[in-house]
Amino acid sequence: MKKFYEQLTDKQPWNGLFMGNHAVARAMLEAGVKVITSYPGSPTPEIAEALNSVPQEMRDYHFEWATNEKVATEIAFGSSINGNLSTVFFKSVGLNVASDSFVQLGLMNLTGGLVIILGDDPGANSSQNEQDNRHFARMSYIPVMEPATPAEAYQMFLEAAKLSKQHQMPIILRLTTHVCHAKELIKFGSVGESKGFRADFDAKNGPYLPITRAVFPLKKKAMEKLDLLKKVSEKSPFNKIYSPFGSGDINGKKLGIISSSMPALSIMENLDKAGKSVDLLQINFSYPMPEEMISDYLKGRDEVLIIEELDRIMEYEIKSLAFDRNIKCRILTRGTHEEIMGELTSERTWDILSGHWPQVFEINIDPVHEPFANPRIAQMCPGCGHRSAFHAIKQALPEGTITVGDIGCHSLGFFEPYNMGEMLLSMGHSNGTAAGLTIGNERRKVLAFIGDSTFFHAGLPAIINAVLYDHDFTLVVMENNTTAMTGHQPHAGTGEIGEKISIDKVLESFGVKFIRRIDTYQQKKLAEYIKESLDHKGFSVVIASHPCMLKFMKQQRRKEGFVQKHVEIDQNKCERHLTCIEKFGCPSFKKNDDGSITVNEDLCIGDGSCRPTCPVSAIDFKKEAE
Amino acid sequence: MKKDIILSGVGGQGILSIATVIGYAAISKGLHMKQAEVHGMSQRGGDVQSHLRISDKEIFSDLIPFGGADIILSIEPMESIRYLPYLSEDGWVITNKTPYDNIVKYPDIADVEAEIKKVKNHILIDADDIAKKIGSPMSMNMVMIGAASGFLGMDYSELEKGIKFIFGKKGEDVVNKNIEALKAGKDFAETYLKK
Repeated sequence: MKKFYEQLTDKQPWNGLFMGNHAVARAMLEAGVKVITSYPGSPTPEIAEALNSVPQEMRDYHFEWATNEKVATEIAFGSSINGNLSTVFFKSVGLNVASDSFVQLGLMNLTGGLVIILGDDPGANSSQNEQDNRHFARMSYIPVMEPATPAEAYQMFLEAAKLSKQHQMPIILRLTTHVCHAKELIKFGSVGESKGFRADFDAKNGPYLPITRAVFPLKKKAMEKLDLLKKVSEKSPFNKIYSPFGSGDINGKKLGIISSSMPALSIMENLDKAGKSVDLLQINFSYPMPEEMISDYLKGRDEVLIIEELDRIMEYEIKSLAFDRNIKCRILTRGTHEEIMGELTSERTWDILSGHWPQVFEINIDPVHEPFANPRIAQMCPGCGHRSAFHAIKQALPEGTITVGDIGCHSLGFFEPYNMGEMLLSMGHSNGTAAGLTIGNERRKVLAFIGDSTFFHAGLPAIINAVLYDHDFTLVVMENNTTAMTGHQPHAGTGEIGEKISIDKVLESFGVKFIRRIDTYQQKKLAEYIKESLDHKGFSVVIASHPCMLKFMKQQRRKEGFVQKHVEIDQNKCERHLTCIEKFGCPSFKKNDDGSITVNEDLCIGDGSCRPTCPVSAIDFKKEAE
Repeated sequence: MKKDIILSGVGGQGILSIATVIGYAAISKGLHMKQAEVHGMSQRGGDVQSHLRISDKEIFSDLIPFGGADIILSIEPMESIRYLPYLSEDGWVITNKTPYDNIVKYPDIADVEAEIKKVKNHILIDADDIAKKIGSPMSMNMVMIGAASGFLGMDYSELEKGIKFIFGKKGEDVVNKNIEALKAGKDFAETYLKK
């Protein structure tokens, strides 16, 4: 088996078993993309994993983890107007961060071409909402392609890159979680000879300054480009009819379905199962919508059911098309709020289909077997520095303190037994929200958390604001020297990209008067600092630092002669206070049926961060057998 | 031929290498194959599942519908019964017996096993113990593939080829240990089913 990067960069056509994210990385190489930027976020980080697997000297492209999604978008824009085919990718909510610049892209003449890959997350598997970014496309006059499978994601990227270069406009490739992470055999093409980077920017290719009246010709051009793309979507092979049993009459009516991307696959499976003559129009090149194709489809049927994942976007556009063209077809849609939420898996689409047409989708699909299991709630790893921090901080907080969470592994602090970080909006919100909680508040202390990657991503403006007004709260920077939640990507403060940017020095230069730094395993000292910082009148910061132990242990285990250490409980000392289980909450501790506490050595990493939490000092390092 | 398999376990246990071995065996036989991987938080200890679909016809969705799975292949007992709604009426539950107990409310293991035994087609195997006995505790997941090998709709030799392909670059020793584990799992299942 070839190494992954050798497969990825193979110049010859070949067939590979690839996941969607890796397949689009391959497509980038085949399309000759020169500049690729991103900020880590599920479900897309494996695109970068693929690009970064290639040794530096073999790369014909530049890949960059930017500080945030907006910066990533701007870098891709800059390189595109210099004549380089560029790509930016990030997760669904990343577009909110990028949006200030993103919404302008449709107005611009992107001479090199620019493909934007959005990892939308129906079902909110790893996001704080399940926003439907097709709305943003309409707001910004940017076409959208929505692949249903990894193979289609690969093919669509190539098509998007071609159209983007040809029309010098941005194109969105909208992936969803199951397209990103599904794996199948894909027929890849060849990778051409490398072309150098270009530096061809010329203001005459623009204008690139949308100010006041100059906006209108740019907007007009954006709309004209969309008109051109509509002609492409009308003929696109990505928009097609699936008709396993023809489209005959059922009880005197011809029935059809319109859907797109992943839910269309669920429907195809359901059509096979039902075995009736209902067909499906699958619209994967979805914006601009192929109006003629859809009109013809509606005209040939008595009832058409529209099933799309998340919001009612296609539905409203198709209804308005039918109204304008006076098409008599009866249009059926999803009905309940529940049907607007979550992933449309095959059993859920079956329910929608049988709700409208019980005579067609008549088989009972209720499960035969009931599940039996208790949830495994996401929890911090054994040895996680955040656990020590939460345990120490919780004891230091006065009654009634309001704690503000942020995005990252430390969001898990909200769960039992810590219950800290009680609200969450977005990356970097915590300082702004905390400031608001202090205003006119003489009674309750306020404490905010932020991770180190988020500190650089979106934390700085609100911190500057807190310094300026000297808002009276404490910020705890939960530093773990990586972007842990998404798989250990580097950030500005890790020193893996360029020279490490020191959080302490940034804060000092802003003029923060109270800054303390402490390793979170020093729980007593950390608790003292927290008390001190909350007593400090005005804005204060405690940097609660400990390297991500999941990353650290992965590195340690690869080392020659590595011996796994553990802690053990001295059963003669243990008085069963249960602090280790109930308050510190490390999953390595187990309470047995006889009431005794033991250590699960499969989980324990022997970090010893639990030792100071035991009131009778019954926990100590185990003397490992030689 | 169609085999819909739910792979389940706990983060860090290695269900993806099971999917890789079976997947390569399937495509080298010219079958269609689709796999839904669940990625998310990188931490260990959460429940993970992967849908693996193999067929001689085109496969549309990467997800197995409720009541559609031919096999639930699980390397953790409680995780095997979490996905029971996916199992078809005549489907098989093939699961490792060793619990991964990192939660406060892990049910009594006797109750878990009783639940598994309610499914008419099941194999309960102590894959950790078998892997340790052959001196290769890391090959526990290959023991599991071996236990399921009679139900995958492909020749046993295809699975051996899959192991050679996947572990080939790690050297002959690793390949042989994994093949031994595969065989041990197969032998166990055959004896188990005779009882």
